Amino acid sequence: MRKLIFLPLISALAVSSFAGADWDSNENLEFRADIKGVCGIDVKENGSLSFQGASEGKAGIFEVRHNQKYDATVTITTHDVSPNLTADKVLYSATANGAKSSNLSDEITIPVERKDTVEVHARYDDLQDNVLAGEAKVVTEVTIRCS
Amino acid sequence: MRLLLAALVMFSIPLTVFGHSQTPSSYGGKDNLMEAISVQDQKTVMFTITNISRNADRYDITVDGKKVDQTRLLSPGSQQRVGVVFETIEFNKPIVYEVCSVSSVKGGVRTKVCSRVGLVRL
Repeated sequence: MRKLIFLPLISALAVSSFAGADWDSNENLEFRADIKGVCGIDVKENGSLSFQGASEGKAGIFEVRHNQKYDATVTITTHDVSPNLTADKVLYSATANGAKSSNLSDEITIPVERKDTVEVHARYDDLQDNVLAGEAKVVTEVTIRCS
Repeated sequence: MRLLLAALVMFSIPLTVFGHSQTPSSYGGKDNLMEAISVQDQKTVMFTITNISRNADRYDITVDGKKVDQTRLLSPGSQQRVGVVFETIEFNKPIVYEVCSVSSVKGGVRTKVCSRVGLVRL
């Protein structure tokens, strides 16, 4: 008698389980990947330092690499200079995708978008004749923050 | 002399392309509470540094400006995963760190890529 009661119950449960499994033959096969945010800088060309009273030097060019929905920022500043230069006299201006985004300053921060190309000009705020002869070297630091 | 000086003051990089990237670009914070939560005194976050230069380079890893690690010498196109350990001792106090990878100086430029890490101990 017990078997007679349980048999329909187990059958009903089995049927509902199969129905819940959604064995639809038209179900798509899915491939998924978790894409992490990437942030980077790709330097394309070197530039040259210009001096007060002289024409603008060659721009340094780099490309922004990130895959975020929102914008990132790039900061350009002087990391080090040779003894015959003064760090705070090295001034930068930057242009992102043709739009000049900042005035000359010893540290500039500009918003950048994905794959923006940034041109940077560096200028020494003194006459070239006032710089002691020898190797004049500027180490520029380009920092990107994507968050 | 002026020409020589002008030639010497090339403020950027060699003619070859160089650069690097870092992932994730952010970790935890308000936007991702599941990542932000720490249930132990320490939490390790993995970062991947990729050398996109034409030359080999190694990268310093800094947390809030202080060097905590360095990658091995990465050949062009190669990458390394680096685990950065954060202390999360104080309960319910969100802390934000800045993790950066810093290249060596190439010619006259060094590149720095920074990610924000927001953690909270529960």
